[in-house]
Amino acid sequence: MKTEGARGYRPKVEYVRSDTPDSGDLMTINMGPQHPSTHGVLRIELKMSGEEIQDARCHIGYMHRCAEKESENSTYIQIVPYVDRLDYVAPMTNAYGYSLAVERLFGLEVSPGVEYLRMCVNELERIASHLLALGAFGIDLGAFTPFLYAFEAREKILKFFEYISGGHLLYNYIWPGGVQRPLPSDFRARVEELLSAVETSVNESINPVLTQNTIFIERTADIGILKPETALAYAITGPNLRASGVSRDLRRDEPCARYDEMDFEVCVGRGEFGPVGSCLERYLVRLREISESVKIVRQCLAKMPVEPIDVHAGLPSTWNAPEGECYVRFETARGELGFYLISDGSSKPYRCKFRSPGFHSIQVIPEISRGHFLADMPAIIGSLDFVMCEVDR
Amino acid sequence: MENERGLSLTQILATALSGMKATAHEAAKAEVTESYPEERPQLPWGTKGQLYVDIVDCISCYKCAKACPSDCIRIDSVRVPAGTLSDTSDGHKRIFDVIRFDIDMSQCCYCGLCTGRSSYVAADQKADPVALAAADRMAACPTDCINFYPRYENATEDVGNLMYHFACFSFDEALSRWNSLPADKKRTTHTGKPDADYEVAQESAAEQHP
Repeated sequence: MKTEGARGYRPKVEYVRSDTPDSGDLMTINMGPQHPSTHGVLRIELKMSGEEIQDARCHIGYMHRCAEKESENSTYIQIVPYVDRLDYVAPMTNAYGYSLAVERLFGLEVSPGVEYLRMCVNELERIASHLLALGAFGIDLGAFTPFLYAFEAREKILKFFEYISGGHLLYNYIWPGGVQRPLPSDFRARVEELLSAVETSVNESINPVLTQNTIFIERTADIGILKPETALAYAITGPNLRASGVSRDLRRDEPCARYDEMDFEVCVGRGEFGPVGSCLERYLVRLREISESVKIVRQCLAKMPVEPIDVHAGLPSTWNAPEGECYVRFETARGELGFYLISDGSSKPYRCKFRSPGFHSIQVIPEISRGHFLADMPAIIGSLDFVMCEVDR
Repeated sequence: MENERGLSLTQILATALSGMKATAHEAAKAEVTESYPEERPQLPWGTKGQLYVDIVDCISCYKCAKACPSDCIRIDSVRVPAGTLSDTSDGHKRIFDVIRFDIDMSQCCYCGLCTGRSSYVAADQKADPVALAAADRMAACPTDCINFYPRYENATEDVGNLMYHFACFSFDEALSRWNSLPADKKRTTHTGKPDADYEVAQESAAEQHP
């Protein structure tokens, strides 16, 4: 047997699966990396038989910027701005997950008031991220109006974040041990205002225009079926997994922070309009999660102490970590975000590994797009809701 | 007229009409879009906009340059005799002439790790002395000389224009002060790579004071 390469390893490059029918008569279509519906710089190489997708191959790495290596050359506090940039649609949740990892590594105690504050901000960010996902999913299908309604509500949340943190998109707000800036005194009133604005927007604008629209339901209920066993095999997490009918939410199953005190429902695909795991189910799960997040924010506000919170009390006096390692996983708006940190006792991590949920969502695109039309591809991509910045890191 | 799912055309039209009703309702509401160049947004206190350095308060401690994750702050300074420079506004002694304080805003990641105490107070507590004192613990800058101010229209045609220079003493001024120092006080500090000007300063000083 002929072997190639020094170690006898021969990379198996297979652009078209051998079991694909009429593989001799396929046309290659390149989608992306500048395609507006690929949600960033994703290139998909499609093998088409007429209008039908026979195979797809995702090319990633256009946004690779050595975030992990860069983090290993930064102190623990300097990593927070980089972590914000992993998933720029929901930076607060990323920073929160990272902060929980560093707190476990350092053994930091955070006061309940600060924890409720961070959970409150985190759930608002989840709402903002889901609003973007819903709006962008609509725009991928040609429905421009709901996108504007979703963005109007999202913009209100971003304006609020700008008020408390100083940044409009990237905040560097949640820190290991606390948050960057103290609370303004009208925090509670503003959050209440936001929540009612979000509920109004979802109930009165997005639902009638998009969710209840029969054309939209018909368009999305039967495409991109992600079976639960496939989802588990590909390690899909977050709303994409729950839409396939698997009830798994790290906020409930492995509660970090103070999520165990919160009363909320894990939204799972119900299959009301067709099979579970379809594009529509993923949309609906996100929509329902918005109202669950609203519930969590209200509970956090109720539990937050009325007197001013010292948000800097939990910060360590030095950023020299004790030797050791930790892995913390955290449920973000896109799924399980993992932070693996190894410390050698210095102020910088020896090794830093990020596990991003979007990377796994991308792997399943070929699996769920085979046999669909090319026009279904934007819907499939939009329903998976990944951010390429986080995939490539 | 039904499709394979059993939906009639009237049902489809009814949902489309209810969507249109919501859109019409939305159209009757007040505008939320700002017409940008005419209406400018009022940014809140502490917005991470443009970095500004109040150079007469800078004691050249390099804490901001060390805190920066993206190394966008470059400082060079020259030792001067005590008493040459006035104290900072909060009473720190200044013994270094800052001959270079450059911030490359194209590299800045707007994290706020370099800033002084004013950036660590909440939006509605900027006049509260207790809050400002508490913020001192967090702030990198001990004299509150580097802070954000809400300027956001920084776009230029040349990326070099995003390099902002804050040093107010010219190199010649600093050199003449440095030359008047006794030999044992001639110390300089610098970050990063010494540039040509810095080397010239050392050489010419060495010539004049062998």
